[in-house]
Amino acid sequence: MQLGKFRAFLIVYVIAAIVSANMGIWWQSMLTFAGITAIASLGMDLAIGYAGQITLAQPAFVAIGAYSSAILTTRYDVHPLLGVVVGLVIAGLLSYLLAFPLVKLRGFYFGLATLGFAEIVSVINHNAIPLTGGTQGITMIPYLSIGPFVFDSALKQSLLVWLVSVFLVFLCLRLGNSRVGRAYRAIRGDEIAASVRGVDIRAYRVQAVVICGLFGSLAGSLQAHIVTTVCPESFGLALLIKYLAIIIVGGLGTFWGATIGAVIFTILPEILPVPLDFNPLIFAVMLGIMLLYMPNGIYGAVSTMLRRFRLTYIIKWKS
Amino acid sequence: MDIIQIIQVLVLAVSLGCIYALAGIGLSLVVNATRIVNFVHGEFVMIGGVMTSALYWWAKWPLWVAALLTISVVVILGVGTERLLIRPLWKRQAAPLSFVMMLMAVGTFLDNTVMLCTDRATLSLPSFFSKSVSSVFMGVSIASQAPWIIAGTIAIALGLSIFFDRTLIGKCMKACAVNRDAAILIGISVDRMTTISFGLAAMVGAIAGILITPLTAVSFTSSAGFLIKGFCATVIGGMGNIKGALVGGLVIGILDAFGGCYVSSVYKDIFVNGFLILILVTKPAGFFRSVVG
Repeated sequence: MQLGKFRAFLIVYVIAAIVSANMGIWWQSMLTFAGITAIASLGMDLAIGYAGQITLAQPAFVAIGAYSSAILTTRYDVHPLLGVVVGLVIAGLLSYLLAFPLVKLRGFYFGLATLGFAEIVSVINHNAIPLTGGTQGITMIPYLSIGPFVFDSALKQSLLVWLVSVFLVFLCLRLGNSRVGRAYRAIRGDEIAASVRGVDIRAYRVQAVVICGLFGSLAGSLQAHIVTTVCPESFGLALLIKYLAIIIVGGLGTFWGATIGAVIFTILPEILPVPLDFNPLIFAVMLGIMLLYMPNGIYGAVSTMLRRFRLTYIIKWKS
Repeated sequence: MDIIQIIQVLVLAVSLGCIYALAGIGLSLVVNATRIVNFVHGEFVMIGGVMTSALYWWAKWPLWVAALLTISVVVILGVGTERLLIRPLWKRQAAPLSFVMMLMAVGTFLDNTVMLCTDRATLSLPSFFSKSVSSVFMGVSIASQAPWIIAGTIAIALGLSIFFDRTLIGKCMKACAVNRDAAILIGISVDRMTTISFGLAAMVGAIAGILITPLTAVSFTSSAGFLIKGFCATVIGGMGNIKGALVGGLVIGILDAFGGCYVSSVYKDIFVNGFLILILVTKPAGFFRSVVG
């Protein structure tokens, strides 16, 4: 484990922890939501940005994680951690079943198929009242707890969520440097060339989508236990646009970009003096502008700038 | 299950199917020219219906004036999207991913704008034929809008086939679809063909939206459904094949109507989406010869 890499995560986490501890409830809850969004966006960044698979079903997997946790902990008195695990298993299974038959499709078609799947899950969320509570959703979800330690305050929640989030970024960066990461980059660059060199296209494509689904489910479960309610409205297309905007604005394929983007897109709606309904509009406009003028995102632009001014020692030191 | 009811549902199925076929044709037009699946097409259809309804009910304009203005606005939207947003990505030779995200951004932008302008309302129009929603024809009660929908669809399909087979521009567009580089070599302005295809698709979509609004009310949330069902129709019929899209649309219409009426009206979207995934898994090339690879 290179020391340089590890230092970056410690620093980020320490900063988040200090901000949480000293800046009051508003910052703590903001950071918590940013962290949850970052986890889900990280999955998208890995599947879309790194491996090039256009998967648009992430809101569905977030919903699966959230509803699994909610249903198991409220109706069957299951321990929250076990609920999280069950959510992960269900999401992993569904994403595998979704991806495996569809991997032979090209980008647009695969994206639309995943969109269809997301719509199916959305319809079930809205209408399967005995299971999901319909449009009312599920309330009174208990907090997460590990043994006697209950994550009930905003401070504890933000520390936990950021620990998980930073750890997952670390994991993704390690993945990027491994054989799997090189396979993903090869597939994204040119599938035919990659398969000629012996990369198992099908397996890696499915794997990327499954990992994305797992991240989403984890984010959903965390959200369920922190907000303590789930309702179907929050898992729609607006969430998808938010994730897409995050990974583009942050920087496609750069895992820190997902975190940066998540923080931006969580805080931005709060400080802008426009009503909440305008949110998807603003996200969409930012996504479009970034796509046209800054396709490498903030992380890409910053690292390009640093490289141009020969400040690369900062890059090397940070990551 | 008496025969009268089955016929009624069948008429509904054919009506819906025609609209989905039109949506599919619009998608096919863009795919033919650019190989891009136009994720914004659902919004074209939706805006066609919503804007006409809004102008008719709130601004009290006559129906035909509202319809014409709406079609013009949607065509401008389509052409504007292509010129300002798709063209730069195209010049940059961006990956399909960028197109998908750009189109989704535009789609969300339009959805949200409509939501804010209509104040989240669900809008509908009176039938073109008569004042009543449904009329009785030989003992069968059918929606008055149905003949208009079917006639409109046939007219558009005929018009498009004449356009593509008899006019110079239409033949140029077909050439673009078959082999883009060869078309450039011949001297066809492929950029202009792309713009025309977007505009044409927008027009077809807007007309489809206007035709269906008396039958099923539309709101800002309807766009995703139109996109998925139109895409389904195109996939079944073979990407780029207009006659195939007609058949595909009818299949989806039948699935939608019979599934909604006889199985469950709440979950009928699941059938269509599930069918889409099933088709993509088993026969993504469609059942007819597709023009584009």
